Amino acid sequence: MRNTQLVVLTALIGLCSLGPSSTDLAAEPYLSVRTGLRCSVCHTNMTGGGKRNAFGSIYAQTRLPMMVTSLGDGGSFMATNIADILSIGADLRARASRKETEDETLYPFDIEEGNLYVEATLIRDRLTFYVDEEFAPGNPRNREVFALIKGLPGESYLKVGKFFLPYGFRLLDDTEFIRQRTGFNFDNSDLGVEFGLEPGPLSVAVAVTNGTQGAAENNNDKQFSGFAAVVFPRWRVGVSGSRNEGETGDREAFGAFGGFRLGRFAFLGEYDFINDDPPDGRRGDQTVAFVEGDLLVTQGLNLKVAYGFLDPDRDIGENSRYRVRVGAEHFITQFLQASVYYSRLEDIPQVGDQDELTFELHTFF
Amino acid sequence: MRSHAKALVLVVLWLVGLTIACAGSGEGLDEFGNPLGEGGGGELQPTFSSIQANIFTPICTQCHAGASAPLSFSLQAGFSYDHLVGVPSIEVPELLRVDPGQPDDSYLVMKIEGAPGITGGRMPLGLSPLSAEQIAAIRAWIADGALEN
Repeated sequence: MRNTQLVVLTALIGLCSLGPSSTDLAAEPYLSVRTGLRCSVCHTNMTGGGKRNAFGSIYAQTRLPMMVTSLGDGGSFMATNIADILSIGADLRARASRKETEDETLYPFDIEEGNLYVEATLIRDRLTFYVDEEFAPGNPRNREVFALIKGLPGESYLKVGKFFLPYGFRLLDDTEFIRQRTGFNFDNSDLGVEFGLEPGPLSVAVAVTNGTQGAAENNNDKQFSGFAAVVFPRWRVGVSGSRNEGETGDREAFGAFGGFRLGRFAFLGEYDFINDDPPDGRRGDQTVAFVEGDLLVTQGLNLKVAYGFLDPDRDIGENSRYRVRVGAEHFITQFLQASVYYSRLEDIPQVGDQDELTFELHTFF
Repeated sequence: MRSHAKALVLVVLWLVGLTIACAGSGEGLDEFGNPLGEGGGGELQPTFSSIQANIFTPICTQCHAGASAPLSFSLQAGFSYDHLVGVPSIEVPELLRVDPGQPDDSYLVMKIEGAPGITGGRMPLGLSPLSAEQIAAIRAWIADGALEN
């Protein structure tokens, strides 16, 4: 453990000195924007989310927390390798909420996510086998399982199997309009192949999948999705696109996303246009937007304000809705985060508004 | 100092921007956000058409719609019945999404009630649970044979 610790800390210092200046890093896009780094710098999955790689694990344990605590063996760093080629990771988010609508007020406890990750590095920097398994809430289910082939010409890679589709910012909150309405979220993964490349500041990923969101293929049409972005230390901008044809009609989604940092502030935003063309000919055009601002108060404490907008049918007036979310996120120690959020969903008067206060405890490694 | 001032101006502009786009007034729309006169759901009844109009279309199709519906499971009008009744669940294949006459064994009911044995979260995901009245209507429709009425 001690030798491993020295090696990884040395690697961390080296990477920090070579790469863009950085302050914090973790599994949410604002941290990527704040650091100016790509998702693949910290995550095994090149497009983000899921298991943290060696660098991500070091960073999460040394730079994220307000307080680094002793592990009881004289050290303060836990390597996630359990064998030469095997490493693991996990996330568990448990919540207590107060949800208020015009009809009722509920106080549920629930688990937002409980995931276990296993990564086998079969050929270092070349071939990786990866599994992302959800163990809560409910029965276990597989979210991702793929082979990742890296080091191909042009700093490209190939991902084959079941995975989250590349599109826009990979927000943790699946209920945010840009993730819920586009369908590109942590509740949806699909089977197929993804090709990506990351030369210089450019980051591109394109996937061809069944288009059945994890279900068995039911037609010969495929879904094409992807993004292209330029990532610089202080700002980034990108475009996303997707087309899927299926028995329930065709869907196209296009969008732009970007972010920048200014001192302790990080800002990100995304805008998407979704078009459904069902067989009955009744087209439906939706627009969704999202902006977020984050303030790093001090190491381990982040304040967040986010705003989401939805126009569920552009042909109908006065039907838009929005959601505002404010919160404080505190990385207490290297494996524990406590957060509190207040969100308000403003809908049309006939539907009514919703208020939610959430306390969340997140353990991870 | 100048960078702090720039940041402050930017934050203020950003917050002002947040207030520009807001919820629609709902003028000319029914309780589900559809134009008046297009035909609302009416009072909720334990029939398929009423459940479609009052529950599936306004609530479930926020996600379960279009070519990219989760698990290719669409609850849009015109597709929902064929995707529900007598169709094995993908998450728990030994159960039917809707097992006519057997609400307790129907995966749809288990998912909206958050019953033990489901995979993933309770539906509707991220939204308030369906009301007791809405769940009772779905249960009654299934108990009556899950007809396409």
